[in-house]
Amino acid sequence: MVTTEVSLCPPPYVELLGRSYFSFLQGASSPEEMVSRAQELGYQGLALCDLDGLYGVVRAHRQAYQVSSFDPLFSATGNPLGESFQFICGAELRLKNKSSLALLPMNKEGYTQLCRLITTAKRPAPKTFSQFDLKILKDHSDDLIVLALPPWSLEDLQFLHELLGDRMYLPIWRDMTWESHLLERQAFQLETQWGLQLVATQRPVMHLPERKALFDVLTCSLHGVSLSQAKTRLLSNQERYLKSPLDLAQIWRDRPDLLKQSVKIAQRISFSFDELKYQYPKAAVPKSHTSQTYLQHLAEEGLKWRFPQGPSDKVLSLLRKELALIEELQYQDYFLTLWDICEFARKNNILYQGRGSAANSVVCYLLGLTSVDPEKIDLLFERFISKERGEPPDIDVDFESDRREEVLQYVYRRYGVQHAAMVCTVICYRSKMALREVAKALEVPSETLSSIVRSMGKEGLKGLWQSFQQEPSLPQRLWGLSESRFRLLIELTSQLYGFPRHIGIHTGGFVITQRPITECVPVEQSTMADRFVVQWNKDDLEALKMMKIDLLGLGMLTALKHSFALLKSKKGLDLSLAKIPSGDPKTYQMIQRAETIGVFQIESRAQMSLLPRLRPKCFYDLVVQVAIVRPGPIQGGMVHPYLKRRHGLEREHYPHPALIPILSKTYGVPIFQEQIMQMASAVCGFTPGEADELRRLMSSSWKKPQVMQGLRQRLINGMLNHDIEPRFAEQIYQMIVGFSSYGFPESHAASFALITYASSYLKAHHPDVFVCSLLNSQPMGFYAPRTLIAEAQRQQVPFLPLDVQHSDYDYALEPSKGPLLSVRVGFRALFGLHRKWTDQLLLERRERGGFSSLEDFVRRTELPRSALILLAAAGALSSFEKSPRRAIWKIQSLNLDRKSFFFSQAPLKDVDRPPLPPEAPWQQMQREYSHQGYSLTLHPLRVLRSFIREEKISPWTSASLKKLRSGQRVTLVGLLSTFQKPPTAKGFAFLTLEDEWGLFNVILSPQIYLAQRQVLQQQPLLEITGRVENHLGRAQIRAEALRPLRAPRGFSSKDPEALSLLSREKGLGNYQ
Amino acid sequence: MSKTKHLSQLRCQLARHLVSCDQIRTASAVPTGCPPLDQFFLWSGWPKGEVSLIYGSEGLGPTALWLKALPPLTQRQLWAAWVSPQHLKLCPWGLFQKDCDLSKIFVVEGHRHNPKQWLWIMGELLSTSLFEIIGCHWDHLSPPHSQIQKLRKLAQRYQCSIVILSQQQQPLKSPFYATILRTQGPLVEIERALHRPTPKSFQRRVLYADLMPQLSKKRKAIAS
Amino acid sequence: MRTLCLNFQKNEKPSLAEVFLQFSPQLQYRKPGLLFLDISSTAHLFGGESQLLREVLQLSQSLHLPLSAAIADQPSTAQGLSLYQPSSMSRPNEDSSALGPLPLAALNHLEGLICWQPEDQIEQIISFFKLVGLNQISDIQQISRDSLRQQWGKTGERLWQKIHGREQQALSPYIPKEALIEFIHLDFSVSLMSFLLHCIEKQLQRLLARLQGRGEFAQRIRLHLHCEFSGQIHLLEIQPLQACRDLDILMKLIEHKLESIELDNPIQHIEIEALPVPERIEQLDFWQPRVKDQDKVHALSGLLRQAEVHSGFFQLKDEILPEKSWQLNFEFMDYEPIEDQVHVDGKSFQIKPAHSSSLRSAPRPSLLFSSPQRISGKELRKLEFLSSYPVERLEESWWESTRGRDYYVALSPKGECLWVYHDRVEDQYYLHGYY
Repeated sequence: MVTTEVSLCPPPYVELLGRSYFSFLQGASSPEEMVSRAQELGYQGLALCDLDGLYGVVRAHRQAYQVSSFDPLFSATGNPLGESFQFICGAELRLKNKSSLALLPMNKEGYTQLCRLITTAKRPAPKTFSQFDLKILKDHSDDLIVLALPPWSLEDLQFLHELLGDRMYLPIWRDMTWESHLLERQAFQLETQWGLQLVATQRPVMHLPERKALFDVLTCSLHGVSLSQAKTRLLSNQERYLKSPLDLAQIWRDRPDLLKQSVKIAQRISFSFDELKYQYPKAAVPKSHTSQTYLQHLAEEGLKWRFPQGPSDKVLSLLRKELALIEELQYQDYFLTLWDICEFARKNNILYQGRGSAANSVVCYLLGLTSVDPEKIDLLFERFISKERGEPPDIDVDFESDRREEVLQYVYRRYGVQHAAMVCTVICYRSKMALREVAKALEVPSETLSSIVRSMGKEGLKGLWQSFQQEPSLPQRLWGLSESRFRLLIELTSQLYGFPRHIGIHTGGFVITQRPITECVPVEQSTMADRFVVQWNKDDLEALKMMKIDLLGLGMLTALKHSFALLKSKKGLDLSLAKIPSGDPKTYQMIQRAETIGVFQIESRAQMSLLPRLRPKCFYDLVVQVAIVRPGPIQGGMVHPYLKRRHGLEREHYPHPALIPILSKTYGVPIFQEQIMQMASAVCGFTPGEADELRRLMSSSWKKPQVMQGLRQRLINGMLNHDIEPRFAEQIYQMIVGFSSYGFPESHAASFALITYASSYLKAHHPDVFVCSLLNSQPMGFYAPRTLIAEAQRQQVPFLPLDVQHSDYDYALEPSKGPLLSVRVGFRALFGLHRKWTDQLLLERRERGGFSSLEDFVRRTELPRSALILLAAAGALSSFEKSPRRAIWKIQSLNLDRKSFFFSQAPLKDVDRPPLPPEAPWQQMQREYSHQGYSLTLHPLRVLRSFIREEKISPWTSASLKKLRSGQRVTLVGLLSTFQKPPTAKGFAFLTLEDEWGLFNVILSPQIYLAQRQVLQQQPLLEITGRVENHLGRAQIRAEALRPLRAPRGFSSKDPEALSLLSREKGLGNYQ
Repeated sequence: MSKTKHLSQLRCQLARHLVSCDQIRTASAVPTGCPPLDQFFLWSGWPKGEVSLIYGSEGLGPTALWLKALPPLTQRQLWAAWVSPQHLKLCPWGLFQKDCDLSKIFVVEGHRHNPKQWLWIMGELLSTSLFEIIGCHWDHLSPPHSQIQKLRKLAQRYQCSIVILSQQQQPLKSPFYATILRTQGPLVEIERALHRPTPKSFQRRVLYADLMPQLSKKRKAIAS
Repeated sequence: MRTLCLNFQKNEKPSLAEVFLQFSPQLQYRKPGLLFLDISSTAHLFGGESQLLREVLQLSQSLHLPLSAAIADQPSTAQGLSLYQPSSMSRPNEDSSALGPLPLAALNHLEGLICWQPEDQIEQIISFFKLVGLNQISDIQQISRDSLRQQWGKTGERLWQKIHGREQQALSPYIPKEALIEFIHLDFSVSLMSFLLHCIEKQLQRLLARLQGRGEFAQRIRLHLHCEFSGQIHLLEIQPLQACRDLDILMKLIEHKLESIELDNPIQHIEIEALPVPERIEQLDFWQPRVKDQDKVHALSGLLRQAEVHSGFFQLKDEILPEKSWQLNFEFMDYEPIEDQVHVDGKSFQIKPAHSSSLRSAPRPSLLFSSPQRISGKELRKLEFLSSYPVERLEESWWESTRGRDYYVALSPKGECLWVYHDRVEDQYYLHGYY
């Protein structure tokens, strides 16, 4: 045995073929783990080469260089790790003959070539496929170092050698497999015969050997087999991990030059992401202006428009400060780009509204991007732009949901597919999907898996692990799984949690660049037709200070648009978001009575139960109402103190005088995220930039322990310096840390509150117009059309049934005898009627007027028999034949052969038609519910009311509930409308039931919920017995018993489908 | 009696057995797959209808030597059989890597320490008259004279080549063996071969020529 | 024509039809689980239709085959009655009155030998009649043939014929072609003898019933017991002295055989195969070669197995550990290697690598010990290793145990070429094979 002495000092080494889990099922460690492990081992550098993309390089770069200001290491010694460690970005592109090339850009041009290469290979190919071949490399090979990975074909190597010269290397590794011996031997031969350059690598797929088990599970998922079936698909050992330089020196003691070669290669690479200078697209500025002067000009125009009586000094000083900062940070083109997009929307009459941190800017308000008046709320400009952060601002703009596509296409047309692409999101394994994947690999039977998933409930893996630790024999008892196997299942699942599965499209995120986008990030095809997505998500773009705009769709804006149009056409009123009178008493009274079904943001059960207690009287109260029913305030226990202090039932308390100006508007209770940042600045001495980083740090998922420890120290020290008692300091620390990530931004709540007030105003003053536009904007909101129509009918809005003589596709308004217009049901309500047939019918009616008879209707519209029977069954042919059954039979007997003389004639002799039984009320309701999801004339409970009284089930209805005193025991019957079980409610469930008089809420205790879970899922008609809770005019039932309604007489045993018609598929229930 | 008379009497006695020169057939054999051996043996292979012996400790390659005969044989769709005690399993991967047709190799794992059973198995294998060559590993034993004679008779009747492998250092060298080889240290010694001048030896590393070229640096170690 | 319809109400194997061959040579099986027998000419052999029906139900009960049956003139009527009025018989030529009281949904089940084409049209017809308030077949029997044909074309015509019991469908003689193999899939792995015997008996009884239907005896019964985890297959072969269909004799032989084998792992599923021999000796075909090579090997294997000697052909398997990478099989099966998967979609491709597929080209010794031999410290010092680093490091499936082996090629003082591995968990060296 030949052993050569190896020196004890570790050789310099750079790992050139690192791989992270962004190789989707072919890597078992995150980019951060690979970089931090390489730094720990004392490598001089690491290259991250994931398969076919640069998905993880930004995260790795950030891990290598950008250390949080709260990290003790950074604060103590500057940036000790950053300088000596070199992070190299790269990608491994696979070839059809199973070999592959790892490409490392030497400089910025090389990086651009790499992005173009990846884009050319990925853009035309479907998801997870590629079209890379050597011909593509030929056109984009400058400034790239290429590592040719085996299997090597002589022909390819010759081509690469001629193309790249000394920029080509053959990587070899020794991972104690026979394959590596064979490749090494072939490489040495090539080295001697052709003089090719070799380099040592470890071909790592994990940062620690312990990750081998997880890598095997990923391999099983990739191939769709279990572990025992995988066989040689798995790695034969766990050697492909990052080893220490001393171990590498021992392994390569016969060829130490190959280790040094890796450092030489790294030294040839000078590219870093800091070189990526992102340029905003040059906005279309008139010749006489520069970007800054044009922005100023537009702002001045805005002052005249927004403040006709002249702006206040506060607004003018804010404006000057913002314009100066914008000029200093060179963000003019950003604002002008946004203004250009919103201008397009304004010109094309598309309703829009900006929200998010942008609502903290006066410039945005003046340019018309946002509608939050700086006079009404305190703006925190640092929350929008901070010099310290040096990051671009982040603006979200909501458009009408059904016209958002026009805006997206405008952006593509305006900037071109080369300069604009959508942002990607990374879809990761959640706990249930991870558990399923691991269980499949471990061959856990599917029934056992489903019962494990069911028992996970809302607590997820943590709950499962805790119950296992309390009772180790639980898996064996419940599922027949041994302890070791169950422990393996849970450990692997928790490791797999958070791994990326594939990339998707961000809902509305756009990246727009001056230079072609493929020069700074590769672009690939997404699942949606002709949509292209960049390979980085919003956090990556933020890290590289690249500009992103969110163009989102909001259903309520579409409804408001329809309302304004109807008001103008039907009532001659010219209303808009800006012209709606503020502070209307009738509107606030309606809100205080919690009659807010259909209203934006405050229609949920939790909001409606809080409204009578909070009793909003002004716009700011609405802002608080929108923000307070959220996980943060509920978990932080802020709701009750706020209500008590608002109604004077509790004294306001401030741990430190500096907090008074911040919290006084909310009676000393922190509700908004801005308040927390202001608290951190006021009592802990944080600069505005540090306060914003605190907010960003708290809401990011990747929290390093040492950073959290550093943050706590800074906060506590800051408060002690402001001579706050330790007792209060700890209380404020908990308030800041526990709340800053969940708290809702005030600017955001303000933007929403504008729409909330507008929709409330319309519902209060024009319920007919409001319900018609809501029905034309479905699907949206919290409730099914059935509930919206029932609510409108309670507000005395008359409805007219669907009729082929009068109805359009949309719901329409028609004159009526009463003060309110009648709402005519549109063909969109009919399930299963193809849009093509509706248009054909409407076109015929518009061109040649109404129809004289059924035969005339059939002959002129030429609809197929299925469409005719659908219209007849929905009662739309009542103008020709009162009884739908007769209409159906007539249509069935018509001759629909257009070429025949008897087309649309009835050849059958009447004697051949059997007597059709008359339709009972229950059958009529069944028919209407099954064809349009509701009945205008019959409510299920009205039909069953007589039966309920005869059987002495319940004498009460939802209308009589309000008159009962608290604590009284009642039984009510209702149709299940909504069901909620929020995680913050400690197991309680909340139902909303409906009868012919209205809605009523029911609270289910955890025990009753668990006992009756099956009934809730299968039976829509329920009997609830419990105690009444009547508080501030808002009555609800605390259930003690719940069971399905006993089968009423109207149901025939032969027709079991009667109840199923009321099931939720037919739109009779809306479950959360 | 005159010479001619004697010759005519001899011809009468042997008349039934005399054949003309074109009817002479060389005894057929199964090529060993090892060039030095094939060139040395008269019938360039393991003689059919005869029993051969290879002895020497197992690590010195007696099985590897026998296995070399299988790839060419099975590629011609001919059958071979192997009998060995249960505790020593023949590994097929070497054969697979040399494109051997495994569907033509029948393997029997007899009970350890039960020579009688091995002989019964050999008998049954021969009686099927299916196999061209049968290798039988006798572990640390070797068959007695009587059994070798029986095996030879069966081999002649079914025209099959039998090769006995034994790890005994001094096995019973029965006269019924047509060929005896011994593996020792770096050499393979041919102690007996019909009508050939013995002893004769050749380098054992020929057996591993294609097996592990990767360790070629150490090939001398395999030989020395 | 008189038809008996057996409705199993779930998908059964077509081979089940052979069990009922003893009641009529003319029968036909159709998915999902419908068997039609023409009993016009055989009912009298069993003492009438009701007696025949009783015997059919008894046989199916003994074979644990839940089914519902009915007799009528036409197959379509019999199918409808079997679902809605089990064990009923319509009077000859009075199918339409038997169908009258059935609900409209029964129309779906009046298919007989041929399914409704197109399938969804009958659903539309049923929903149309429901819309106009008609609920029973008797309601629509009044509608004339012309109007049904005029509304729904061929389907309307077939519908009229069915509801009036006038659809003629002939049944052809059944020729048994299915293999005589039954599978037993156990919900959970079993090693309890009594439970195994119970499962085997049920399936064997069905196999013998099929033999009876085909008029054959079982010359030999072959059982393949598949073990869980290890994938080991135990092969049991039972040969009664004389070919028979006697369940008790065969079960005793199986029990005796089961007692002799050691189950290292519980049984996951079982295959039972019967080698039949006709009750009557058929005429041998002289022109066919008597015995093929395969038959010789089968006979030889059967013989060696009787003497409990393990034999067979190599079946290669892509396992990481060498001793699991092949097994001896009674039948030779081609080796399908695990390769990298390359999916191609036009010019685009996607590659799913098999990380250790090159293990099959790694050098392996000629002989392997079935249980590796421990090497003492003294012997180890005498060995000379060809490389200080292991030639291969192979790790056993971590989800079962935590074993790791480093393989070396070593030379003994006598020049023997050995395959040695170091068990990193026990820190012990083993001799695994000879080159």
